[in-house]
Amino acid sequence: MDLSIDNLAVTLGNRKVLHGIDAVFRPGKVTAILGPNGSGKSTLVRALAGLADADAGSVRIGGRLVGRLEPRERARAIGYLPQDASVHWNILVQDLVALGRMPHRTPFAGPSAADQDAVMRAMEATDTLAFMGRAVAELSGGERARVLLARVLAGQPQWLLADEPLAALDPAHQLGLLDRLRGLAGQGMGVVIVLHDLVQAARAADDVLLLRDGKVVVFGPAREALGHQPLRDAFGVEVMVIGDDQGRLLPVPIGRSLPPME
Amino acid sequence: MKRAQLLAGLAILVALLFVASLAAGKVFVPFGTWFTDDPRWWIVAELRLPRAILGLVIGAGLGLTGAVLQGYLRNPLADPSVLGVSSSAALGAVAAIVLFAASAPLAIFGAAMAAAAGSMLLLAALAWRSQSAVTFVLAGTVLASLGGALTAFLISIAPNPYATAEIIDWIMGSLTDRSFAEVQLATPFILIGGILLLFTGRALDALTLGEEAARSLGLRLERTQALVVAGAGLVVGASVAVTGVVGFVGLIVPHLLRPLVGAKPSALLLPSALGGAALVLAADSLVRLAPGAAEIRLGVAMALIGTPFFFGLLLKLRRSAWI
Repeated sequence: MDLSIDNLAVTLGNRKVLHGIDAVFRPGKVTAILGPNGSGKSTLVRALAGLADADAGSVRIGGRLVGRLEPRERARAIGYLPQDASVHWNILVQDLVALGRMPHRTPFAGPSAADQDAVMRAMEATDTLAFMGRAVAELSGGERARVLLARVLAGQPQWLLADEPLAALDPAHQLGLLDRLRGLAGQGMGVVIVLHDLVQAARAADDVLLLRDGKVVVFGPAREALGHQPLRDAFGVEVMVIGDDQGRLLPVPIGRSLPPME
Repeated sequence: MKRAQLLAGLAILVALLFVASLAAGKVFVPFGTWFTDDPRWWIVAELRLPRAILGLVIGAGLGLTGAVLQGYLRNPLADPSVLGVSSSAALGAVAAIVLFAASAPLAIFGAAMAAAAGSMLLLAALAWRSQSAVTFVLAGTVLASLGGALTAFLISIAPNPYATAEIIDWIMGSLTDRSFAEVQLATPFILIGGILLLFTGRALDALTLGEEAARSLGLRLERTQALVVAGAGLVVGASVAVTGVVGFVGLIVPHLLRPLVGAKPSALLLPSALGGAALVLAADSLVRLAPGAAEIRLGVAMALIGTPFFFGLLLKLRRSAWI
């Protein structure tokens, strides 16, 4: 089911953050959202998750308005990993991951076999099974980030929206996580991630949406969207494009662009 | 099952303390005279039994409310007083005593509950449509300050020393001379409020991840907030309306139990209810054993029992670097 936004505008406080965004995200693909600080990336992802109030426009999943879905139904379809990685109580890792099953569980009932199975699979997929029995406070920042991702995966959503999931990870785990996200997309899940690193975006994303000042600069296949001109327009940087051994073109920022002639 | 064992252990402790509360007092009533026509049994049946029942119900209600509020606000400092409902209910009781010279339980209870309900409605209106717990706690704190200030004003204009002593009962909390009338008045409200609060467990677990992630899990935060306001308002309002402000229980009981049951908010609810009952029963038995004609106030006894426990716990937690 496509996740689509149509003429979406969002205001936070007095600031217009998104101005009439149109985009269609396809399942089975990894889409990276990139843009300078304050360009509206997080707000866009929150809107896709049905968590931001829109001034105008709509967000639809399979043609149905996300905002009109019953919250549990929406939660089963769309998993959202916020940027904020805080965990307020020092609970056990497996209890944290099991929270992801909440949209599937009936009140006052214990976890079903399917719930337990989903939790185990999610922990396996994020390489966190070894943390079973540990409390959250005993994890490093990167370990916690993986456990929080496991929490979202445990819900087995059709869509995974992740706001900067790589921020706390070392390079090996960044690559591992991107590979897993690609694997999930390969199984048909829709994956939308906010990234900062152009190289990682070029490695992992099928499609790239570049934002600047709440507007779409370009939305298309990664190869085109991460070209010289779009990156100049979005970030004001010059890149050197290098090829890797798998034939992918990786844009490496090398300097700031000269301001356009007035 | 570790949790089942803990719950069973707490339930046995509560039962023992309930019996101890019936036995405690200046007059020793031999167990042989219990359930007989002996006039000393009357002391137990008419004076101590209602008091023990109130201690049980109120302690359970306040312990549960404390656990829910700490989970809801994700703040280990939260306790039933943060809503402002306790000070509002106390203000209602004090106003009835000072302004209308009320002394009947029903009149004082009615005034306290009316004030509690008023403050709940105001709280709900102030925090309405805001899904953030910060608005909620700010509104509650302002209400608490207002209630405290108006109560202090009423004390300053209290007509006679008798009224002043009566007022102090409501500020410090006391179960002295409570009868079955108070039991009948308060228990239904506390039970209903407690049931509402038990429905919040799963939402509290989700809020461990923050409000945004909780909403993404399908949680309706406005419904959770309504349950918390109504449940805590009923429990705390009805408790304060019959015993005055009994502090400390809601704050320390969840902390004492967290090392035993883990930090998951929903897992703390039932144990905190039992722990609260145990603590209030113990404290209320202790106040009767103190020498001298006057009893220590319940709030004071609670602080005397609770503080050493709490300090011990803090020292232990400091080592584990998590608070």
